[in-house]
Amino acid sequence: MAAARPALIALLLSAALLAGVETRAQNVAGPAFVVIVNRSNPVDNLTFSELRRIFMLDTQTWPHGRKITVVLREKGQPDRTDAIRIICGLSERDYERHILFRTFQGSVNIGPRSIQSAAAMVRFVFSAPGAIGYVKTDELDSSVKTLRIDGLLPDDAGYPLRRALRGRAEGDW
Amino acid sequence: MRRIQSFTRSATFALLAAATLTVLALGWVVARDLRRSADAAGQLYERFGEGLDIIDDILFETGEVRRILLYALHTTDANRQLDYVDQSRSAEGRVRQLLDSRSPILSTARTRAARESVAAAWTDYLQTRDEVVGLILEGSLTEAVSLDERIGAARFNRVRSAIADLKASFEADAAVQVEAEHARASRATGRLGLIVLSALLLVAVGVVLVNRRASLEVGLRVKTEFLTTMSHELRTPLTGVIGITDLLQAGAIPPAQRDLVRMLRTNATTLLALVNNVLDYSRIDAGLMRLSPRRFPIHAPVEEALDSVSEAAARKGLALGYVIEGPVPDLMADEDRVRQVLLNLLSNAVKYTERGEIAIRVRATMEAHGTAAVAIAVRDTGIGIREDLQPRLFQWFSQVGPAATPQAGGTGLGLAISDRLSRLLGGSITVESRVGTGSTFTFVFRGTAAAPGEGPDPAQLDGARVSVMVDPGIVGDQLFSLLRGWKVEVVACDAASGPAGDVDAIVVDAEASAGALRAALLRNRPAWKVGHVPVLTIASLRSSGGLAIAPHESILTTPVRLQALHDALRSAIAPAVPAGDGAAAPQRCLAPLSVLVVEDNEPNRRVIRLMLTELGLNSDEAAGGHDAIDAAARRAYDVILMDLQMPDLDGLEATRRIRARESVHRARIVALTANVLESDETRCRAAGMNGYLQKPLTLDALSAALRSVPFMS
Repeated sequence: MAAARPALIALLLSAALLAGVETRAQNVAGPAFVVIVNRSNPVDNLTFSELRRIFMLDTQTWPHGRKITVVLREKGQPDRTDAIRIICGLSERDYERHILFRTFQGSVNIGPRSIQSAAAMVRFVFSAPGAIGYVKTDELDSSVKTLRIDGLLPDDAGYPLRRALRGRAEGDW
Repeated sequence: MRRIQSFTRSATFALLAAATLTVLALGWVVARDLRRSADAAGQLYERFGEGLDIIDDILFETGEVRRILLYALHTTDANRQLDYVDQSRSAEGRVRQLLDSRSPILSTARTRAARESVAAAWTDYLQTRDEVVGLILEGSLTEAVSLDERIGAARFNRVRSAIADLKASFEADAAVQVEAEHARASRATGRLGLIVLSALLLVAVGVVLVNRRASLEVGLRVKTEFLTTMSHELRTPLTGVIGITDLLQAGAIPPAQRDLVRMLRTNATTLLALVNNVLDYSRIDAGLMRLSPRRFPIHAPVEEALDSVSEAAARKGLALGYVIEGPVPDLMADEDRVRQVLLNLLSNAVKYTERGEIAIRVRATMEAHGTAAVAIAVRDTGIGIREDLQPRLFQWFSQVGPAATPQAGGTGLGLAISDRLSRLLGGSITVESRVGTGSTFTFVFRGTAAAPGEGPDPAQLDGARVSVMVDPGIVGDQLFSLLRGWKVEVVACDAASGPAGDVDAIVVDAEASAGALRAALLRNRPAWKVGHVPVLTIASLRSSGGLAIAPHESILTTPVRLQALHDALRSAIAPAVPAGDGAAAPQRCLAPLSVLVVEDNEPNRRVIRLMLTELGLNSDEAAGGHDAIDAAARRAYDVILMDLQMPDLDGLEATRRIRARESVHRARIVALTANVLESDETRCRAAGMNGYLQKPLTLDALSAALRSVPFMS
């Protein structure tokens, strides 16, 4: 019994250390992607899978009938790569192959629009009623609408577009 | 006239000042209006230009909104499309800013409505524009072009049309404002014209007033010269009349004719006084009256004034007299003016008093710096003056109440002149009067107290006992006052029992108790044991002629003169003592003096020659200035009596020429003039004269002048 006591203490300490590691990991997590749409868009919430189908161009029309325009950052930009990886689970190259394939299939008229900056992304979404894009939380302004993903906002625990960022330093994506 | 002149001058200055102030004030108003109008016009044009610029900017930026947007249709690059969209939105923002401008150009009702139309058209277009933008950005270029052509272009044209309307409205509004500003400027110009006319009118009024004032001044000068000349012309014959009466009085004429001569002289003197009044009025009115102070005892002008009215008073049976209450020093003042005022007051008193007496009472009050204020009260027992009429007494040409009757006569100048003279003498005239009781005019003047000159020696009568038989009244008061002043013991005298004790003389008023007192005295002299006592009877000049002179009785005419009473008493009490140098005694000790009389008027020349003869002097005559120069060149005269105004050469110039020719001997040249302006004396002395005699010439004045010649014996 006496010999078990040190083991118990070690277990508790390990747990405590693990808990401390967990806390630090959350603290260093970068900003999440925020999905934005035009303020005229009646949609407020998407499930993560709905979001993925939109970005994969499987879904091309909003429930109210407006054509969906997916907006991405320009090729080679980290925000484009990461967004494709997080939302679509693909590398940028695979994503482009997928888009090209759907275009050849004739099921897509216009592919995702490429925008050079986060600010341009916001302005684009602001001006295009059917657009959907993404920015980091600190690039957001009130000219566009933020969509809940799985009912969660970026500050909420379990926000899906943050999980993929855990362990990264800020500005490191 | 001086009041009018002063008023006119004041009114002229006031009007000119008012004109100046008015022009300045109106000018300021006009300048302000014109400045405001100019400012408003400047602001209007500035606003107009600014407004047109703004509208043009709106039009340009509006075109930019669509033009740039259409560029986005020519590219598939989202970033470039976004740039175009952004530029289009920037242009739209500028349009919105211009339309929302608070510039006054868009604030009027007309432009505000037009601007709202522009805004509404913009709203419609921007709705389409946003849809087009969305289609472009979403890659639906065909749909975007379709939408723009189908709806956007039309709405955009409506925007342009609305902007054109806005511009037209603004221009119309500006035109209205320009018109209003022109109207305002016209009104200001009209006011300017009005002001110029007003200024011209006021200047014209000022010029008229200045001319009027100049006319008044010229008129005043002409009037003064006229009056002076006329008075000279009137005084010249009066000189002859009064001189002749003096000669007649000095000669041996029957007593019955003596009164006639005296009346003649009185009337001439009255006429002369009237002339003098008119002359005084003109001199006072023109501000030319000057004073000539000299030393005199106060009783002198009082007695002379009383003497002047004695004849008129005697005709009415009025008692005349004066009392000097308390010490009154000799005075340095203008004696002639004092006498003139007194004479006027006495003349009025005699004129308006039918019975009773006229009494003068004199008091003096010493003031600072050796000045004495002398108050002379002239009280009568006449008809009196209503209280409401009294304020008008001293106005020019004013005759009040019963005085304003034909019988009263007069010019209405006397009291006004007296009032002005009293003020010149540093005093005033006040009046207290009750109707039916009488009036008291109190004349106050001021003079410098001087040491007493020659006068009666009180010691000569000191201790004498004199009985006085008079009725209560001013004559008795005067006698008692004088006698007590000389320390004469006044012994009571009862009409029934005579003097109480021995007396040196008895003074009786012939008019007292209607002559009963004198009659009782003369009747009872033996009984009263005063048969040898000298009796001095006081009687008016008029009544004295009818008196039967009793033994040891002598007559003293009223008004009683201080010197005459003193001399008479001294003669009566001590007949061995020679009487003093009574003025009545002709001066016949002036020979030998060589006298030249220079006078162009023959009667006057004759009168002067007769007067000189009366004084024991022979004389030569010259009828003009040139004759005088020739005569003076032929003979060294002791005295030259020189008339000033002569037709060929006036007295001043003749004197200058005589003086220029004189070497060692210098004649005493005395001017004869009826021009009694004070400036004449200065001019005479400047010409080389030694003095002047005022016409009408009197024997006494001529005698005094000749006696003052230094080398006379």
